[in-house]
Amino acid sequence: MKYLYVVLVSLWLFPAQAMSEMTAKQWLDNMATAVKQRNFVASFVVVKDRAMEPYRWSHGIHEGQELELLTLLNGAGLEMVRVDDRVTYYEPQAQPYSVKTSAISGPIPEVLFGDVEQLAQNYNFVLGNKGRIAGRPAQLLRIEAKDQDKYSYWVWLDTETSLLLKSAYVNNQGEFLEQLQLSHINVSETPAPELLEISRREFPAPLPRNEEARDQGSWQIGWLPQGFELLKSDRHKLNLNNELADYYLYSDGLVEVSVFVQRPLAGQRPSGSLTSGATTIYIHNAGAFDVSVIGNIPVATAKNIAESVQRPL
Amino acid sequence: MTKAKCSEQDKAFISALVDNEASVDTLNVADVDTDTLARYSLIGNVMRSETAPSIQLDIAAQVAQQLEQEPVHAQFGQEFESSREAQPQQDNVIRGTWWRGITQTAIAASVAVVAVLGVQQYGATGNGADELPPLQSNPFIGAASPVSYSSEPALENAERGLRELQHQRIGALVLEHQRQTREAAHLANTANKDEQEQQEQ
Repeated sequence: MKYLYVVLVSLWLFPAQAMSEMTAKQWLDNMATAVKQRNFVASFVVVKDRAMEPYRWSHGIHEGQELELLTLLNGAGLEMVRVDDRVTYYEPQAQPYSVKTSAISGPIPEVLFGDVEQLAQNYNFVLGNKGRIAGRPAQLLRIEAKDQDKYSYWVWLDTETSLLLKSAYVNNQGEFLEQLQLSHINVSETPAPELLEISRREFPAPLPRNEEARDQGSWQIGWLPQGFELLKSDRHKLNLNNELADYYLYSDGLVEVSVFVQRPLAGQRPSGSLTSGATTIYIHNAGAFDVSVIGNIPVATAKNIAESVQRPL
Repeated sequence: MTKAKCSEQDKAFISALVDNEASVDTLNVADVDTDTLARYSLIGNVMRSETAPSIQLDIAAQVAQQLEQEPVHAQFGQEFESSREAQPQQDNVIRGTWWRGITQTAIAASVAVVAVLGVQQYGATGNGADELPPLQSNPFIGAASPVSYSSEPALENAERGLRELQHQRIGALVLEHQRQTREAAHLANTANKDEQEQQEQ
């Protein structure tokens, strides 16, 4: 009888608990689903130190096709279009190109639209406070880095629709380095008209998958923060100035880090860093060669990576 | 009441009214010439430096209007593709000029990106609260290194050329990083799939 009582109480308690106390992971999973299923038009700004980038973001489902459009509204223009699992980038300095992937690589880390479970090794998911963002009730979820070599990423979600309202890269002092904030979101029954126009567009064929590019290059990169894995390495000419570089791309699932090894420029130049929001560019003058590290990582991390690069033995 | 009927006496009264030197009950409010009243209150605001909200230059609308009148140089998508196929010879020329313009913007844009970075980084050194001052105190851009103060024009030119080269390289690296992270999306996907397959086996 006693056992029956316990069972009954737990049956009554647990579903209620599940309803009111979703875990941070569940919230993030809900967001990943919501941004792929809802029809919405949103505007947001990305604030990096003193610079600001305004975007328009729309998403919808039309005749079983998933359509997404992300446009940078200032400057020469940048347009990112996704139709199901093909993303096409239109920008002034390059010919438009397509990539076969299920998420746009823009100001929001792609992993948030997929399975955040792959971050569990290097980040903790923490449920934060409730608040009000963009005029809507919001829940804060913190993706906290487990060590000091990476930034944390905080996300505020709409408690009703689970859609993203705000996000920020946060350093280990709790300072916001780069913030993304929605100023307006309109969730509707039907997709926005500009998305219907997309569904009629012709796109360039996706770039071929280059599996051979994943071999380990000849430079020795002595140190990387915990959890970063090589995605690609090769030697190629940079698009803009045709300079040759040995190139390595690493990722921990949330952010990507590029390492370039190049012929040094003439003259005496000290090593140093530049930052813009969460992005760090560290250029290390190693004498016979230059190492440049770029990514959304702390300056100290970029410096350590750059200085750990050595000539092959 | 029309402007013509607005006497000097009325004007003096309106002026006093907006300066809080007369009270409304001595005036039939409907009789006040609205243009004059608005003008006088604006004058009052200017003198009290409160004009911010009343002066509105709608630059955005003018720019938008201008943009609408601009000819379209680049039509992405189908029309562009098909015209290129149909008239390869002629279109190459069009494409050539189109690209030249675009490339120049791109270089300018990338330099602008870096220039912004440089300024920000410069500002960041100023507050002194940075945890890594030795790193931050070596700006690449806009920094007046000792050589650039040299009276030798040749040296100065060389230094400037080098700085430009460095700007260009940083701009190229930033754009390349952006492009590679985009293209890497499918690499990350395949890497994950490989891992999953390995785990399943």
